Amino acid sequence: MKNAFLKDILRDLKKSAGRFAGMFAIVAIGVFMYAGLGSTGVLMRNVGNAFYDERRFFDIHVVSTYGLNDGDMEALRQVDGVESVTGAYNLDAFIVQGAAQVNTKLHSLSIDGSMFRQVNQPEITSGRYPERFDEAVVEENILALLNIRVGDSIRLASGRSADLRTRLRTDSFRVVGTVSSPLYFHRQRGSSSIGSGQADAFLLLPEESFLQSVYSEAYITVTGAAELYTYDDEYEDLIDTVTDRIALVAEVRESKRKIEATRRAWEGIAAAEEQLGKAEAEAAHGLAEAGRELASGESALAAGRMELAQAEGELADSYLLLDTQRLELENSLAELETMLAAMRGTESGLRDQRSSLQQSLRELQSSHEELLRQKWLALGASSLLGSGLTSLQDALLEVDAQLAELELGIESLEARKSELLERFNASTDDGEQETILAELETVDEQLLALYLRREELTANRRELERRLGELVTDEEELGQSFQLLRASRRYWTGKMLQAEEGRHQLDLSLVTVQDLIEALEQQKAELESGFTELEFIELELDTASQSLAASRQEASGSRFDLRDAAAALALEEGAAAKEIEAARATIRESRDALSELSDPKWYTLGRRTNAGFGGFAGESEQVSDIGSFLPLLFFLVAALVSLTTMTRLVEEQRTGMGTYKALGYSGGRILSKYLLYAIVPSGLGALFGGILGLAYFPRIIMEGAFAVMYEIPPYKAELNLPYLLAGFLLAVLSTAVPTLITCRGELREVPASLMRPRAPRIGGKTPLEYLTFLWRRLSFLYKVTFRNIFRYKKRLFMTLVGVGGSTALLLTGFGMNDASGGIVDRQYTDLYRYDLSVSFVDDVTQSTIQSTRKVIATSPATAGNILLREEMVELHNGNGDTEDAVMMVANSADLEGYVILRDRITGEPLTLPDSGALLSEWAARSLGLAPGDRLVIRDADDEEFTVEIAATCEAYLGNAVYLSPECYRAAAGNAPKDNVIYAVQAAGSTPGELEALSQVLLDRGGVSAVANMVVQAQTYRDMLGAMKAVIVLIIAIAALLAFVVLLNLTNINLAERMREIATIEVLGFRDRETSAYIYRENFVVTFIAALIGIGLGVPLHSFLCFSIEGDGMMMPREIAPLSFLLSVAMTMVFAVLVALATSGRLRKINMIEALKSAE
Amino acid sequence: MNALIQFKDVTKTYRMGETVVNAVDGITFEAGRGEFVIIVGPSGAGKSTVLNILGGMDTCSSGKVMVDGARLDEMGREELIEYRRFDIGFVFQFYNLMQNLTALENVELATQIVTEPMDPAKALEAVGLAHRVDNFPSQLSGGEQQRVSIARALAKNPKLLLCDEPTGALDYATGKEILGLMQRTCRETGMATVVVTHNGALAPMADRIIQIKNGRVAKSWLNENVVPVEEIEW
Repeated sequence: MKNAFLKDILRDLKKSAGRFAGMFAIVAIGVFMYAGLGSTGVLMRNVGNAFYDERRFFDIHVVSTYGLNDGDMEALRQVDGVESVTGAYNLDAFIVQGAAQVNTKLHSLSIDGSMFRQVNQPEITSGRYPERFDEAVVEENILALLNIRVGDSIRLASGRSADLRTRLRTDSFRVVGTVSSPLYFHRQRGSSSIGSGQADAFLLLPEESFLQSVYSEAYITVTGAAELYTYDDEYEDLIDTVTDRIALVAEVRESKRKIEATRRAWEGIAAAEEQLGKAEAEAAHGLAEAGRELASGESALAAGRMELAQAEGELADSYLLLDTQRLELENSLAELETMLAAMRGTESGLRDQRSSLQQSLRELQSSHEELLRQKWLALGASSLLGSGLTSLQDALLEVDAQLAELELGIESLEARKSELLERFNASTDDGEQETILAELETVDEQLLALYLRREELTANRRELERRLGELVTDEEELGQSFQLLRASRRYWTGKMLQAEEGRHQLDLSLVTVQDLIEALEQQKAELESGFTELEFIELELDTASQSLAASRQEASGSRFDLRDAAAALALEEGAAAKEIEAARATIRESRDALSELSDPKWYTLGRRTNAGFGGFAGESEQVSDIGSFLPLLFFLVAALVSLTTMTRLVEEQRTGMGTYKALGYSGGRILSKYLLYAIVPSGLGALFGGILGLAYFPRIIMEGAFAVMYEIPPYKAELNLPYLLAGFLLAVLSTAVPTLITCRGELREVPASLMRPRAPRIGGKTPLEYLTFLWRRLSFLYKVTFRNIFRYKKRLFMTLVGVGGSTALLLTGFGMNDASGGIVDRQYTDLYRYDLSVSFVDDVTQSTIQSTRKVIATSPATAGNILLREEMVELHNGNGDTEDAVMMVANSADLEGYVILRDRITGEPLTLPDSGALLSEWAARSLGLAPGDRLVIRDADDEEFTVEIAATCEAYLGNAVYLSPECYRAAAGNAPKDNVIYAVQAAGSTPGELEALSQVLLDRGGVSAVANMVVQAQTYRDMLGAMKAVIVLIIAIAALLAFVVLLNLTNINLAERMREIATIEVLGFRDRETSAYIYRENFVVTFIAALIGIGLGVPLHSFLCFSIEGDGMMMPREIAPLSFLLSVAMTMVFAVLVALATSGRLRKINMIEALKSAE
Repeated sequence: MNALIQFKDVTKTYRMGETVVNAVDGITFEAGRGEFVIIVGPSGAGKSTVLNILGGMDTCSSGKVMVDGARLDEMGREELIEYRRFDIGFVFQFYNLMQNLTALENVELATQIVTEPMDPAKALEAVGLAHRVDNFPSQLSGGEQQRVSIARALAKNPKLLLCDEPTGALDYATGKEILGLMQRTCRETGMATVVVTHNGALAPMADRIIQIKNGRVAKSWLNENVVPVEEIEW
């Protein structure tokens, strides 16, 4: 009996093998997609997590504009939660090999420590690690780029005017191996400060190869972070806590480094000035003397001549003159003495002022240091408090546990006691009562002890709670004192800087006064030497008369000597003046530099700022976004098709059911047969598709799509059981439940009626027939086709849903392809019209900007440029939600032709109002803000201001907020400082010309980055390339599903219509006529279904775009006309293919068999 | 050789795994133009197989089958289709009408594909269904449906009308009516008609009776004394 039943089941399965195979395939595809795509994002993150853990990737990356010195590093090490701090050097340079230049990022590699616990653990892929300062390991790319091998030497160049050897010990390195680094998980090597601004490769050098005095950056690992899943909030929270602590340290270290730098610079300048002063005085003195000697020589010569001419007659006059001269000199001297005395007075006054200022500065510093000390104390106290809190909480828990245990003991004892009492009351035997009494007594004693203990514990608990309360208050107070400390430290730091400035001013005046005094003293010396001269003349006069003749001879000789001396003196004078002028210029420059000395700034960065980590995380999230919704649609289509397949199969089997029922089989037994029909193919399909999907889908995506952009490490496929199980259950349920329902409906009828064929469906007029003008034009066989289409509503509905769903999925796939391709084009072709963006460092001077602008304007590569302010800001909506964005402050008129501001939906251009900002659409959506709402902008210096949103503007990549200068001034309270130039490329200029301009600009001081929009667009395009590959895979699977659905539907149709087909074959329909009779109907329905699918696909596509968008990325909503065409055409082509594939079955129909029975 | 139908040593063998079953085991008979032929025999005797072979729906394993001078046993699939199309009208036990075509349209389905059909409406009129031409099969009784089926067969103007247990699914009175219709039509149009039945009582209404047992012709004779079906009781 059982055997026959089983045999029947097996035969039926065999007979309907086509339909079961179809169901198997459809379910397999549905679950393949569901489990495969659904689990891919998770797997990607698992792979990333394992990779970054294994390579000991940093948790926090600290970069300072001043570099990091030992003090900085030590301060970082002291931060609570920091596990390790590794200092590192980096540098951008070219590897030059003949004509080839590779823009390379150089990183340090510490080879002294253990290689294997290094942060950002590199992996040697060939060769070995460098062992000397002139050895390097390179990424494998470089070998191919330069056509070199391990063992060859490479030469590096700075790419700027400065020699690289000021920063590296050598510029020639031997390549000893190839290496991969977790810092470069992404194949893009990021931006470079030299050349085109785009790095091509990286290489690692021993730390000792670098000559820098301070580290460029520090990589930090956080205690306990490796145990957390790096993409989880828990990990983020941990890192945020430590980052906040580092921010406190950063504030201290920043001001300390600023003070150090200022002091060092001042000391240097003061020393240089002192030296200069001395040198000047000496030079002046020497020159004056020489000049005087010369002059006196000359006058002596002249006098001698006069003497010779006028002889003794004038000697008397000379004596008289001498006396007057002496008198005059004495007067001048007295005058000078008074001036000098006054100056000296001023000088000593200045010195007094300076020393008192110095004193107060010293006081300020010590109070500042005291504040720091207090802060550290407070930090210590805070962590002490924290641990006290935890231990108290632990103790509390402990006491609670003890209490609970005690309660249990008491309860059981009380129970024991009442039991004993009962027994006592029930007992009549004295002896027994006695023993019970005794026991009761002990129980009472124990109870008492426990009660006491409970009392004690409760008291303990209260005490603990009180202490906990105290600690919490303490903690609050500590928090307040933290606030207080921070405020007062800011106050003191300000004071100190003020004092420093004052001292600097004093120093300046002092130097001036000293200069004056020196000059006066010089004059005095000159005057004094005048006296000596006069005496000398007198003496000469005395001897003149005696040596007149000798003098005449002498005079002619000394005339030549004097001429030579005068020439030498003039030369010497020029040289000294030049030297002194040069020294003065140096000092002036140092002073300028000092006054412009920028504030050091620390940047504390997380893992996501690494292109590889951030990119991969983002992509995996995008895959998850696609994977959370789309596979369900595939699944839905699969489920609907299998659902209807089962319903129709069961309906077809009613005679069999009736027979079993008549034979006395129970309803459950019969039901089990059909349930088996449902569960076996769907279950097997689900398992097959699910396992295949889990094993291969992520592999296809990772290796097919993401390996192009990321260096995917080897990984193991994971059998993600929840997805498999969910897919399996859903698949089985979606076939089993409708089977159950249909079977129950059929089984409710009596066997006799079951065995009779179901009353044929009433044929009737189709809606089309009421359009008589159209109906009449149709040929007879077309009429039959339409009659058939409208007659079987269930079949029609099933085809419409199944095929329509497949077409919708195809259209969605094609549309996603359009949309993902459109993102970059829209952003970089339609909206960003400029081609070059030149950014300046924070403290750039206006003159630098203007001169740079001139360079750009005069370059033939550009056709125009504008100047504006660009700044990274954080947007807040006031409800705690934030978005990072770029803020641009510019005039609407300026932006015209550079950035298109418009409404995405209406396409209407937007202008920047005097008050109110334009916010990019995604940011507005993410923050839940609409025009008219208030937006809080926090700038890079943590200053906040609020603007009203005037409108939202179209943007596809990145959040942006646009303000007019007026609006910015009103909101932020200061004028916007321009820091970016946008330039458009001149028509007809080549990319090479633009690139050359970039290089020139990058080499200029004050320029921090030059971004080429074409390159940037390409980068984004590459990034989206992986997404595109995923989408292509989705399209392929959608096509496969469409084909299988059509095949299955056609198979079912044929199976159901055997009798009809046999009839027309008996009537003598030719093969082609039979095919037309059957398939024409299929084609018409498929076409209608495809059109419905298009209708469904458009909103589906919109919704999918909506769900994938994130992080400032929006997807254009339109679908290309070609995509519509392709979706419908592919569906129709599949219908034709299916017709060709199944038409063989029409030929093989056994007419006799088909017509024999009533069914 | 003036016979319309000629069967000579026709066999039909089915292989059922190991065993070979001869459904038709060497049948020989002839029938002339305009004759009303009844093939009679118990269930499983092979009479339906004979009819199927005669109707071009099945092929024989050996022997010779000739209809109006054409060798059916030598025809291929395509030729058999053409044969069915132009030469044969078939009436089934279960009518096999297209459920979503009206009576008229069901007839049209057949007339669409032949070159010299009768007017479909006239065919229906001939079987007494002029008033139900626009009804769908489900709106007709069994007898009426069988009439439509006959009209469909006749409308093709075939050489041969083949009926396989045409009354099998009908009640006594209706069955009689249908048989009467067939007999009358045969007389009036001169169209040769072959009816397969297990009901031996019908024999007196035929011009020729072929009795089949175990795949062979047990007896075959011409009926000199044809009785209208209305007079036969069974």
